Amino acid sequence: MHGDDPRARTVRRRRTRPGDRTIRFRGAAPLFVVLLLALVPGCGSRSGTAPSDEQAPGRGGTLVVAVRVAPDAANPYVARTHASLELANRTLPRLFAEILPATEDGRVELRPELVVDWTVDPDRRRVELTLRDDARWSDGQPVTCADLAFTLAAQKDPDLAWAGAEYKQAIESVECPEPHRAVYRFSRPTPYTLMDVNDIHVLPRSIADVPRAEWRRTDWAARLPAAGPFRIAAWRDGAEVVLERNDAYWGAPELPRIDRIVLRAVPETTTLLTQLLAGEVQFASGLDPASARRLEREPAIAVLRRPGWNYVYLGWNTIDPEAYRAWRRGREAACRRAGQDACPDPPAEIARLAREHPHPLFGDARVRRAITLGIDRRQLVDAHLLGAASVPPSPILAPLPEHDPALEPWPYDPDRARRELQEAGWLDRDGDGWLERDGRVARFTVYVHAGNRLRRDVALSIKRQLADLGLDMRIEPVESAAFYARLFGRQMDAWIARWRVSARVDMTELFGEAACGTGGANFGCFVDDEAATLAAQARETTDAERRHALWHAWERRFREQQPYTLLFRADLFAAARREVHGIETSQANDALAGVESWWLASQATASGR
Amino acid sequence: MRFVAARAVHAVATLLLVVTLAFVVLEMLPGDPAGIAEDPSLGPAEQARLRAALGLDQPPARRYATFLAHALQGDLGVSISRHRPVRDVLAAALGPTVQLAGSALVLSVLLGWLIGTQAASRPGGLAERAVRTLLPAVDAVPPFWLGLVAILLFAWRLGWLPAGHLASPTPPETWTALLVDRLRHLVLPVCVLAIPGTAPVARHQWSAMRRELRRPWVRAALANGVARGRVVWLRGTRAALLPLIALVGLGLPALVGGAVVVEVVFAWPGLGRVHQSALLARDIPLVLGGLVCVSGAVVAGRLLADLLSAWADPRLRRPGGGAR
Amino acid sequence: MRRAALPLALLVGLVAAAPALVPEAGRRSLDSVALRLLPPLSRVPMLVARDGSLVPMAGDPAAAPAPGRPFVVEHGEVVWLRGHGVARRPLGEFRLDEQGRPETTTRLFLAGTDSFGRDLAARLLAGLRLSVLIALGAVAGAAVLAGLAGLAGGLAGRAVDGVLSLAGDGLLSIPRIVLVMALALAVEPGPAVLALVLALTGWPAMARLVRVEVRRMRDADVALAARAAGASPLRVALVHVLPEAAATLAIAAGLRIAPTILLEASLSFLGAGVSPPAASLGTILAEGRDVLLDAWWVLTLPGIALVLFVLAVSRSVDRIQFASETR
Repeated sequence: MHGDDPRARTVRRRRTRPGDRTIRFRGAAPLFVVLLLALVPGCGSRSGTAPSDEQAPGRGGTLVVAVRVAPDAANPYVARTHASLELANRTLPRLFAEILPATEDGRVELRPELVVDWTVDPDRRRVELTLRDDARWSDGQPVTCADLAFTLAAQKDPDLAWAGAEYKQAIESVECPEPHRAVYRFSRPTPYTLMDVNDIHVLPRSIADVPRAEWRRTDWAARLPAAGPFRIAAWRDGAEVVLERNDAYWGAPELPRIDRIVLRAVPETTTLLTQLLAGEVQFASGLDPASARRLEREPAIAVLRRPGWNYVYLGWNTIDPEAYRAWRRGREAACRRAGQDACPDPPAEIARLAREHPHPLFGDARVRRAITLGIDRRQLVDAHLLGAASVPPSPILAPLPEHDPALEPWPYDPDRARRELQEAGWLDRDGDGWLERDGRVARFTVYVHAGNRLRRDVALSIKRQLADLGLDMRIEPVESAAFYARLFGRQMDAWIARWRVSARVDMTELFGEAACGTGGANFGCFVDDEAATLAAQARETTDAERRHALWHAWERRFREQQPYTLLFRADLFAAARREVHGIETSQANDALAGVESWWLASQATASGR
Repeated sequence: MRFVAARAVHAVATLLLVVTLAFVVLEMLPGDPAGIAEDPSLGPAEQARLRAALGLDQPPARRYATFLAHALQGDLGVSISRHRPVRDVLAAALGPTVQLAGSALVLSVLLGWLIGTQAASRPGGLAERAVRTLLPAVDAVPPFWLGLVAILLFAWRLGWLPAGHLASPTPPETWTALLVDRLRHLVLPVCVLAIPGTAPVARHQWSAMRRELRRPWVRAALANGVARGRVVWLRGTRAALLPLIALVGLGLPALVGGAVVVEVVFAWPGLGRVHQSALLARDIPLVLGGLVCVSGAVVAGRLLADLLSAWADPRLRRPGGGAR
Repeated sequence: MRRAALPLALLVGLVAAAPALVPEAGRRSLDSVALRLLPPLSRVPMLVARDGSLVPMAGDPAAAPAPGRPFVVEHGEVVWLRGHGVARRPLGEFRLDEQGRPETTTRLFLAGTDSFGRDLAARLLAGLRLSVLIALGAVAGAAVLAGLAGLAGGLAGRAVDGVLSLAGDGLLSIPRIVLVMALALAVEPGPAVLALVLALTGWPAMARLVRVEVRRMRDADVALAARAAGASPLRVALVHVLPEAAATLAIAAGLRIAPTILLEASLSFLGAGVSPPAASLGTILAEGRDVLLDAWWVLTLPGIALVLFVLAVSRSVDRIQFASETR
């Protein structure tokens, strides 16, 4: 959808019959690509032969799904685990399903669910939605605009402190001229208008009697009515969630085809694989590459592979730690004098420090580039992920149209890396194998999560490769809470972490000056005027082509400057037993996408042997 | 009565100490409970509000006092990672753990008792050789390794038993089938948990019985024509029972500790899993509540063992005391 | 007693000397793609690079550059088997023999390799060593604490005794693995810290034994006679009570070594133990569990090593105990 930019123009759709999955377009350009529930040719590689879909879809049965960590709440606004979001996708209605593509040629897509028709005004300050009139909650109430208004109020409520609240701040109000018509008004135009309206699930107004401050201690599994294809039938905390078909779903009685889904937490890999092979479990996502490779040899199992929408990077602190510490001491003294308890870093001050006191190593783009050139990222992927990852050239991931497909990642070129380091003044003058400049040895510490084995192992490989360049890298594994405490407190030279990528491209969050302060995500405070100007322009540009061109230019600047060394974008693996049919493989952010259309060929294995 | 009161006071003091100790240790955990500070999408203001909502903005001493006051009324607070009262989380997890650890306890005591008695009554027999050579090896097997190997063998290679969980996802219709299903799921985890516990019981019973059987009354009873089996199994056992009770009481925490590992391996939704996930998530209310629950059980178990010992051996009762 | 202690000393000495016994090649990391998960007793042919480093040729036999041969030379390049494919580098990067063919050597992987292509035998020895060091440190620390607590509880007044026994009961009523996990998570992880944490939680059971022994000795005739002869309480404690208590303590501590090794292994398994690159047996076992279905040896061999070692230790301690009892 980025390529066609729905935010820019008025979009007018003809009303479609509820239940009709295709949308006919008036006007010349089809603005949203609606993928049908069919396998897209050339989509994510699927080992062996996919379960054949030649038979007529069967009905009934129980699908047992294994997850590593159980869902923590039925209400996605208080939940913290991804499993909870996938669960909510089954039970709660969404205006659109936001779909991140699983293929090279895929598109980010908003697939209408609750919405049948919508318009976005040219000034992007008003969005009008028409809702389907056959959607009902499982308590019998219809799903109406009043539910949308209630949801928005909850999303913006400081008492709830929902993590996505900032995307809703620009939405001024939602009005309900008719029960199934909603008008959203924006106080200022935002780049991704429709996504801002859409996020994430619609809640029923019937839960309005629960005070928002109490939401984090409410048993939502029992309280929350469902309007999606499934409803929660049993919630065994931390262990198991049983979903049963929701007869109030608008697709019923045709959909869902499966009667029950049992989500089970299985923390041990061996246990999970054994259960999958024994037929005690029929679907599992979040598998590691080694397990996936093991399962590929099994005739009863189909392995599904999709690109992940996240990347692991090596981040750099661009500020001289000494200068920062000195400044921070002064700042804290000032806070004490003023009697302030909280003493955040103001972004402008930090950006000034980054300009005036660059880090001896990482303040220099040549050094950052040299490190990227000196790490054989392909080899890391082969050794630690069994090749199941790509090396992205930019944090704007393919196939987003904001990403330039012609952009190549830096190759592994240790000779060029040495030249860059030499140009930056880093030489091995005393012949001890380590580089020096101004009497300082090129030595630094990389922090990693102690609990993340993959990243620790990757760090060890990087350490060896950088030692060849004469850079002495130390590794410090720390507990995750201590890791973030250090990261936010700027007590790190370098770190390995991961970002999840959303469909909204806005690099000012990660690399903008305004994000240098406390609470911002520009932890290393990368400041670069050219990149900042390009990002700011791109955010404001409504014309899709020009905007994409600006982002492409930003990507080239990123490649030159290397504020991060992007290490890899790992593939995601799921596995299904062959009796599960109709699995949609075009979507990367929801392993159970379209589960209402899945069906089971035989029930022999559903209850064990 | 004085005896009972003294033991009870001691038990309560122990429990209080445990709670205090746990609170102090958990306060030392770095960073934030529930990863509030780790969530880059939360601004400072939102983080502060969230902390206030969870009661984390209070000073530790205040929180400690609040926790104690509420705990006395049976309210253990709200779990941060699971968004529900700690009491409910624990109540849901208690059943599976009692099932698992209880069965394992019964099995290990029974097996250990049988093997130990048999070994003592027939020196040089099969049981004695087992006690001498096999049991030390059993002692040395790490339970998680045993669990994984058991899964590999019985669930993967042979396919005889399920690899984990309480029951099948679709419960069978008839109650007999339901029972069989439950029992099939219990076999592997219970055996894995029970086997390491068997060794100390057997060893103990063996040496106690040997001591007992050397006593004059055994010879006297045998001379009087009492059957040897009767002497060994009835009289000898009664005499060796007392230290056995104490041993079981002391072994209870180890059993729950072993259950942590076994529950993780077998995806068993019990207290051990709750403890592990709560610790990793820094869910302080849940860890505290869990410890109160487990330590409470252990302290109560020990109290019971004390009272049982007093019942089995009247010498332990103080003059004038009547422990029943 | 001295004879009985010999096997234990030998075992511990062997493990402590492990780094000297492990060949240097085992510590240097080779190509992990080629060496991933080789079964025990694998012999791997290796090319020798100009700088002396070894380049292993191993992987899927179906991917070999020529049937049955680990490498071929074509167009001035060496093409060799590497994992599921081949790798190629110019001939000039390798050491050549007189005929101008690449020199090769073979290495035996006695216990196979793990999922990162590391020699499991070498890792096993190193892991065992760390496990033993942690356990010894923990038990020694716990024994010192137990000795102090036992002496204080036995000799000082009722109040001290009451507090100490309460503290002991408290510690004993928490499942130790949970307490140790919490403590290990509270401080930065490391072998020394882990030993300390295990020591801090491991003393109460031993302290009880010492206390009983101290009480017995305090009221024994020797001690009473010494007191009557005018010896100070401290002197009585040091000369008459301590040696007896120390013997009891040593036996009890010896018995704790094996369970402590197991506890440490369980901790590492649950993710609260030693963190890589340092590796105890528990860490190696924890790493092996994910590839259990693919490579039984990564979990099984360290497990067997652990069982055998723990068994050997506990048998020797048993013998010492027996010897000391029949002395």
